[in-house]
Amino acid sequence: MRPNKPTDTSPADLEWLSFCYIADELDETAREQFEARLATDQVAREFVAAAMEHTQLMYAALAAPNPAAASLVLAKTFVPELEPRSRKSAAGFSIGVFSVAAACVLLALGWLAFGRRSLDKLDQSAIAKSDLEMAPDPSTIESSTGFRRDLGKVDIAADRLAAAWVEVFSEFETIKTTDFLTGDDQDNSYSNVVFEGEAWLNEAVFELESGSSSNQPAKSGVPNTESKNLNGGIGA
Amino acid sequence: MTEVPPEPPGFRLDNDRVQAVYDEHAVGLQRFLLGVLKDGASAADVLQIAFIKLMEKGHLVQQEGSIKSWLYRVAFNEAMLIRRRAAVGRKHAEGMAWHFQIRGEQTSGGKLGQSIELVMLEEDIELVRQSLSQLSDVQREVVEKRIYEGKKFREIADELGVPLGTVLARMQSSLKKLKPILINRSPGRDE
Repeated sequence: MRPNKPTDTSPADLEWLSFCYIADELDETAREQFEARLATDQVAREFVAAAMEHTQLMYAALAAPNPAAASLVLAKTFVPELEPRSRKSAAGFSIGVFSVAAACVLLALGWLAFGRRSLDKLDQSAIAKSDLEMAPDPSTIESSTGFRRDLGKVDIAADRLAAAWVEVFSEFETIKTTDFLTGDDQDNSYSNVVFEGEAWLNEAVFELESGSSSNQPAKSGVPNTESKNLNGGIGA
Repeated sequence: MTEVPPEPPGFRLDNDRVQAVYDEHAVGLQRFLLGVLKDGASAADVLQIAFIKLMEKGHLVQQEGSIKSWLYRVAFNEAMLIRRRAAVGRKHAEGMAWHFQIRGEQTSGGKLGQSIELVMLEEDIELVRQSLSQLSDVQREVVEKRIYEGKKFREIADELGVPLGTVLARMQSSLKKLKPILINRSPGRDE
């Protein structure tokens, strides 16, 4: 059994001896004897080559399992094991869908925050002419650069958001700030700052938002409220 | 200006003959050299030297059938020379993870420089994988530790807490089980 008989001649022993030789399992004496045999024995040399090939194959089989083949074997022998795999893939799919949805929401918010603003800079003239209520079809506004703006649903959503902001600020306007302020704070109240802002700036904003044909605030009164707020922000 | 006489027949092997010998024996010889040297780069060097010698002296080999034996002997002698010189013989760490791909260098004479690739066919690997799964747990454990993890038999015996003879018997019986598959996996692979 021990791999230390390099003079054995039976094929089985030679095979084992060859394996022990390439695996470096022979002691010094046995190795030297076997190498002396290799110097003259072509059969022994070919056994060494075969042992090497078989070992490489076994190593490859142990080291690099083929996922496809492995899954086939798994399906044949352990069918119940496939269930957790499908659950895992379903969970992965859910995570993927959620990630895509989250990315879409972020993109939309990002566009609302930055993209629309930059487009608005390009299309100031077009926007000045449009009104939240009067624009017949927001998706057909033509930009000053000649490109057609594709506003569509996102713009409508943006308008709704703007309207919601307007409502909030309208409500703020009706609230007496003095109710929340006491003592010295009342002298420097926020409402004072808002209404004592620069008159020329108010007028400019009114003009911009009500259109060039009219000096009055738009009929909905929305720009008026917004301009007060804007003014208050600057004044503050 | 005198005309150079043609070389006499039998003087040096022509390129086609060398190429044929190379195609037939290079892969097996490479494996043999890997087994002796346990170093892929050294084995590739010796393989190249052996075929250069074949080109230089192959015509001296009188019997056509002994070219293979002659080639192996020359290669073995070169391998032993290199091993003595560089002391690479006891290298064991990379033991079983030797290169599967060896590239020769282009020679001016012919196609010898074509790359040889010792590609393990996927179906062979799959076959061996399946046959490995047929081993008993204790047999497979020894094969994995010896072939894949590169542990010595003595280490495995200590690790498993069994006598060395038991580990050797498990390995030997595993090889016996695998042998028919390894030999018969493709016709003509192992003569």
